[in-house]
Amino acid sequence: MLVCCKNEVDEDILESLCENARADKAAASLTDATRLCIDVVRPPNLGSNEENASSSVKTVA
Amino acid sequence: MQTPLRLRTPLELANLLSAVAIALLAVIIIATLYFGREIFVPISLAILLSFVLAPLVGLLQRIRVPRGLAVVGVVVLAFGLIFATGSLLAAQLAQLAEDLPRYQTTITEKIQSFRQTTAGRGTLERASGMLKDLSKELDKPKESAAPSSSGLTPRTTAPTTPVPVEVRQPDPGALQALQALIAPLLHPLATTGIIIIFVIFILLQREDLRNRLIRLAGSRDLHRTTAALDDAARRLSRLFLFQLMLNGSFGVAIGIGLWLIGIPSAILWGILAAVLRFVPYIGAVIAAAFPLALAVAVDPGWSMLIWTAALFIVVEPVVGHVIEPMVAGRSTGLSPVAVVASATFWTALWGPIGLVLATPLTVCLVVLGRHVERLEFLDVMFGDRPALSPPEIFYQRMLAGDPTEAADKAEEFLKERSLASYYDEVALKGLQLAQADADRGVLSDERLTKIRDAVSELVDDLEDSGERSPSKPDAVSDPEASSAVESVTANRSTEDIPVLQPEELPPEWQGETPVLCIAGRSLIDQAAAIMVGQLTAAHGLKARTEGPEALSTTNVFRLQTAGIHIICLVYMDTSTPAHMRYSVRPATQIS
Repeated sequence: MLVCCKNEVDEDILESLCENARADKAAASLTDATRLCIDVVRPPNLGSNEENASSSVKTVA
Repeated sequence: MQTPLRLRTPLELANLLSAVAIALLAVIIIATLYFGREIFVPISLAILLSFVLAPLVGLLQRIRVPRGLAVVGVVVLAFGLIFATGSLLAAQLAQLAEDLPRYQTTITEKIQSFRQTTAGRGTLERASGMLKDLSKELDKPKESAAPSSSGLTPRTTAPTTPVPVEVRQPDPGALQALQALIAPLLHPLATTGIIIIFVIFILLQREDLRNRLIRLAGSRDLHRTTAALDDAARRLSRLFLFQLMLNGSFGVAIGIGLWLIGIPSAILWGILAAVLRFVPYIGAVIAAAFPLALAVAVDPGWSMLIWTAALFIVVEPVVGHVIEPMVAGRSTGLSPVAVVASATFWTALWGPIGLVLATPLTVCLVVLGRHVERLEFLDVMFGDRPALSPPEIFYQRMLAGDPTEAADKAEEFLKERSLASYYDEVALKGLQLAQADADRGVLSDERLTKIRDAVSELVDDLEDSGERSPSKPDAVSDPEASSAVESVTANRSTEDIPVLQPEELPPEWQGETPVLCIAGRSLIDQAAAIMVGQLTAAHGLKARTEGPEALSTTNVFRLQTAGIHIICLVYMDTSTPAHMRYSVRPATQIS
């Protein structure tokens, strides 16, 4: 995951940075980065831990 | 040999000239205020009075009384009250002066009783006796002290009785008598007249005066400044009116209390207490001194003194620390140092009236500074708002290598907001300032290391704070932390990050550190990575942090990645996508 902590990084720029760097995910703040990490283990709208865990192992920066 | 002062660039010369010009201007302003006090004191009094009277004029205007009539009516009423109070004061003072000789016996008795209590000749008495002896020795006539130089026996002269001489002035004429009567009143009457005229004109032409002030201050955004100044004037009016009512109530309470205790001229001391309460910190103490002294003089015992002291000890804290904060908020917007400095400054310039006017005048200057760009320095110098923004304070503390103060502020901040909120809104913005300085090339490697180490220490200090949830609103007492809380709107996205429980983690994630935070390029990135690591850990995913050197060609394959499931690459500077791609590639390979 790419964490880009710079002022005025909007979603488009962030997406473009993520694509250019070929990262899996990108966050513009520490809060977003933490939330994304947690979502890897426990996606917001999915229940099963086992299902999530198998996908999360691959979701690294 | 000393080298002469040399200015290297035109900019330095311009800065020096500017500093000299400012110093000269300050000297000119202070000298003008001092030498022109006969003019400026009435004007200041008129401005402050107009702030107090403006709401009353507004009230009358709302019930359709024409402005001119409203102004004249309010001014007549106000000055009628002032004159009535003045007359009452004069009558009380005259009565007190008449009664004072009666208290002499009580004071003499108390001194004698004090002497008896101390039993025998104490140090003070011995010192006093010695001084008296010395004085007698000095007063002896020269002839008796030294023998005559002629060697003759001095003539003995009979003691001479002094002849009383009476000097009689010729009887003054009617004109001279009138002159003697009017002369002392002329100056106060003239000053009062000037104040009345100023108050009337200020109240009649408030908007015009405000516009002229805005033009003088050279504001760029006329509309915004006008609205802000209108708002500031309303707030000042409320503040002064409230202060007047509060101090008046304090005076009434003291007056009634002193009357019940039996102190003579209780009304006089009540009015004095109300006026002196405008003087910060020591006003009430000075107001208490006179009735206390009178209590000693009037009462043969000590009970009156004790009751009087108790009255001030109870009433002042109740008014100052209970009623005032409850009704008017925490403060007048002045820093405590500014209150003392302004009291000293205005007293030195204008004497006792300066002491009474110091706080209201300085409040006016600070409010002007808040709303007029060119006068912003007044707010910075005297206001109670922090001079630096929360991220600037954070960055400054990290630069100084002093994370303790930043940790204290953060602890205060965390009473109302989450750790994520603090890191994003204060710490990260502080690091962005550091990054901007690093981009300009003004931060040496040593400084960068200091910042990284200070952040690491701060994060350690806040280790336990991540698990605590913010307690309650208005819990922050520190002004800088309070300003940080106010600058951050309560945001659900930063406040409600879920916390993973250990049992929620899949077995392969339950290793020591499933998250690895790697600094992208610099030590500032590493500081941010340390904070990410603590945040993920606080929310159930423990993390390890590595510096920017971890992804170098030589180090990347030595990196311990066992048990790692997420790698976070942290960058403060996003201007180098090529570097990001270069870092992501090995990170993907090792994962």
